[in-house]
Amino acid sequence: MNSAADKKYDEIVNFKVPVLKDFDSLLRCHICKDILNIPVITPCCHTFCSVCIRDYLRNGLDQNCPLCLNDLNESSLRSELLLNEICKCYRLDIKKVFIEKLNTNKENKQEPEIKNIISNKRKQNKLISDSFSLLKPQQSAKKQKTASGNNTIIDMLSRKKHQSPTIAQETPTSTKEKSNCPICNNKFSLKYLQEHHIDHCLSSLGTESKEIINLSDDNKKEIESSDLEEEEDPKYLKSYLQSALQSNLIPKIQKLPNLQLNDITTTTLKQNLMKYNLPVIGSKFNLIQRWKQWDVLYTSNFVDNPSPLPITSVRNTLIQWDALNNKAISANSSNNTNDLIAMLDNKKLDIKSDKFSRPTWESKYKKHYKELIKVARKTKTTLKK
Amino acid sequence: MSTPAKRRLMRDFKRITSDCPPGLTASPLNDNVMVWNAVIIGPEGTAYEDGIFKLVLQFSEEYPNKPPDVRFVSKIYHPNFYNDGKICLDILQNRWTPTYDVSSILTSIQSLFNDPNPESPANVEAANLYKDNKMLYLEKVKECVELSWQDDIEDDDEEDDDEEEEE
Repeated sequence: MNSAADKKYDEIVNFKVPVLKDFDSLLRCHICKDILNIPVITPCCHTFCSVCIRDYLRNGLDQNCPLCLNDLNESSLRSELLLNEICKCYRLDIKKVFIEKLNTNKENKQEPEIKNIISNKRKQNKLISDSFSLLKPQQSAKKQKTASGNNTIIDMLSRKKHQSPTIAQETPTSTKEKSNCPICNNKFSLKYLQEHHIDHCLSSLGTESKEIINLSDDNKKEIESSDLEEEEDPKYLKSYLQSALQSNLIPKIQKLPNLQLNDITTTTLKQNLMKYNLPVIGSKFNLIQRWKQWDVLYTSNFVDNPSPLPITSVRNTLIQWDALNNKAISANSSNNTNDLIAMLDNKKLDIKSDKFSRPTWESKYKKHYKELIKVARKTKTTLKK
Repeated sequence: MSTPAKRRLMRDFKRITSDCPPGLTASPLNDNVMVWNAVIIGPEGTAYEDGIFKLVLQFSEEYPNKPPDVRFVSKIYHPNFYNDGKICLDILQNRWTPTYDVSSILTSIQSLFNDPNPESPANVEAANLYKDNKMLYLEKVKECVELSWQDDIEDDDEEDDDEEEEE
């Protein structure tokens, strides 16, 4: 989910539907604080994102559960298939319905301007492309049924269950049965949206085709159709049942070789990286970091993810990670985290060193501290009241 | 361009601005999200009441797998804080877990004002006085609380003007 949409959603959750805030926080990973992505459960019954907990167990301080501090062995982690679908549904669909509803409400109040629509389209493009690694276009179109109607936000959610095709049939030409395209945000009949428009809109991703936006009412009527007999697909349920069945049938992909990273030679390391078509540039330290991260991503995708992505996309994720986190740093400084930050941020700051002068810092950030003091005082007085 | 640590820090920032625990706050530097300044106000009913204590936090790219470095910028007299501002707190060392965020780190530090732990002292003199000579301990704490207001008093005239204008 892109940050603009995310922010908007947080606003709704925090200020308009407080009851959702609790639900939202339950679905978050305690490590990254984002919505759980490929959740795994520990023997002590605590749940984290697969990548977060594996990364912690390998690179953190301890081999324990971050929540209860019980001993935790990486091999005892198990996928939470049902929760995986719940989180996907929440992240990809429920949040979107809310954001769309908010957008529609705004547009009803003011005359929709092309500019607005285009900017919405951009936001929605990101949203959709996020979800597309997981969904087929047709599936994505079907869920637009949930975005129809002029109900309140809460109604929207409860309606999702009860919405039946017959209700929509009663008033075939009313705007109620039209749905918003998640990409360009224009209203179309569901059938048209599913069968033609979504594909068309997606194929023009990035080209900002104004043709869609300018579609006149007459045109829309022509392509409108009143037969809406299809029942909404419980696609997350299907996906859950499938993954539950498959987990026993599909042979697990071969695990990565367990390399002894402490006394490995650069040549062996390079050979292993090359086996998976990974870059072999950088120092030995870079190579080790790369292999460690590859192991986490690979295991998370092929062991924990009920619908694993192709290896090329795991590789892309690694390469992106590499570019951000694994810059060429000499192995000598690798042991000192603070040196590392200083080099990455091009600042030799180390607040722990004896050279760090507290009075200098205090006067340099006098203004910043002053603002903070004001805020801290305010929160204290609000509590008193 | 954001790394997992930076994304997590932005989440922490969102949380501390929306659900700010009373009497403390923090925010990242404008030009470096890996370094934060923080302020904790001495909790009511303690010897540190209304003291203004400034801190600095420095995070590594391994956050939240590894704890940040935290140090008091203000002078502080407390059994668990070193004279140079470093902090002796289990969750910042061996009991760290990645479930902590900025808000919970600062809350833990704040709770040390309520309940100093003289059994694992960082400032041995303060710990001994806390156990054996409460009067003298309280006097020393009072000194450091008053010292923490110094800047504030210097700026008071200026600040009062500001506030009047705002109102």
